[in-house]
Amino acid sequence: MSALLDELKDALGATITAMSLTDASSLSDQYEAYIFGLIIGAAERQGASVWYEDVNGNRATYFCFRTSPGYIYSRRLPYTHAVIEFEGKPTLEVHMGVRFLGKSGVAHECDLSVLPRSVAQQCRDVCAIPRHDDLLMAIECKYYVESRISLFLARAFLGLQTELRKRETFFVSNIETGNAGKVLARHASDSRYEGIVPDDENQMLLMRAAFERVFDNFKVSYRNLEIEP
Amino acid sequence: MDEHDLQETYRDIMGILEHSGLDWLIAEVNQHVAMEKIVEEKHPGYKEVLSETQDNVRTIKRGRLSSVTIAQPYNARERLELLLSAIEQALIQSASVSRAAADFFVEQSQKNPNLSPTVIFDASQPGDIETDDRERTMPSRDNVEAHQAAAETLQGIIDRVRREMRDVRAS
Repeated sequence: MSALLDELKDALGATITAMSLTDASSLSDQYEAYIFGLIIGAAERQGASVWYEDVNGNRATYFCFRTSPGYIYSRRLPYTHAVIEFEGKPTLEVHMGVRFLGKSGVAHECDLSVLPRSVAQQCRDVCAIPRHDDLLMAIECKYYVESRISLFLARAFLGLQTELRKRETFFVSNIETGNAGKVLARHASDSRYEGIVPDDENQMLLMRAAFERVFDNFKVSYRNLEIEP
Repeated sequence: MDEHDLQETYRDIMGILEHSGLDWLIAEVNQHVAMEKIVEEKHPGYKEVLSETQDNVRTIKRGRLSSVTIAQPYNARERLELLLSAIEQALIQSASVSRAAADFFVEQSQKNPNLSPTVIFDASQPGDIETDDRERTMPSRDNVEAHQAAAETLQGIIDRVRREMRDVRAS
């Protein structure tokens, strides 16, 4: 066993050096970025054109994302959002780490969110916080290294879901969630997506299909844009 | 591996993590271990009955088996499994997440002229004045490939540790 532990020590050192990991938040950042990619992939599969802009309305030259809750109008850094355009439909934006006003009037952070560009633009112009009913979709991402997600996260998610849009607020995690999963299965079964990692293609496809369904419903339910004479 | 070997291996691996600067990972595992596991067990239930022979005398009697939920400490084998699993999530599974994310940003930069695949995460808090040291950059594709190669080696070793745990249990 001693020789094996020596090998383990070397392998751990090599992996840590290769990934330059500083803390658990780095993992969460990358996981949110991965899920952000799944949302964009779903939009593209539904026929959207996608491009990227910063908070000042310029085409992005690199990607800059928040890791702690922020306001959609914050210009401290050129934060990036994706712009999604379906032909003839209102344009959408995808944001990371932006706050929304819940039904109670309290601002909540959404790890990832999709909302109409017109609302996002108005909020940027007048420094306003978008409202829960502006959301097309909200996603809570959890990358956990423990084998079970804490119960309080499930409780927090149920609270968030009540404050936002129940059907289109998703809980996405990299692992099976144990007791927290039981709570979510009982109260938010359509919103719970566990084990969403690239290595599990089936789960990943399920998640992407859920995002596609939201975009598909959006296309069907929204009228075509009015054409100015 | 007997109970003592399992405990010793757990301590050794914790020591390696500490030496490698992964204190946050140790803290997460410790927190999980401290929470204990929730298990359901069948135990005889109790019911309160009135005596048929003596008026108003109540007694508690054993009834049917019923499920009760209890918190139990993890045993040495479970603790070691939790630790190995945490290492897998943090250091190995994260390689494929990084890879998928890096591939996505490279692909998007190829579709969008003048868009670099560089990704910066702003970790500053509202009210922070200096932000330079609070920016994290997502690993490049080269870094991700190095991470994946190292993670595969690490996975092989963790699998061998698990085999040792299993082999001794079977023998």
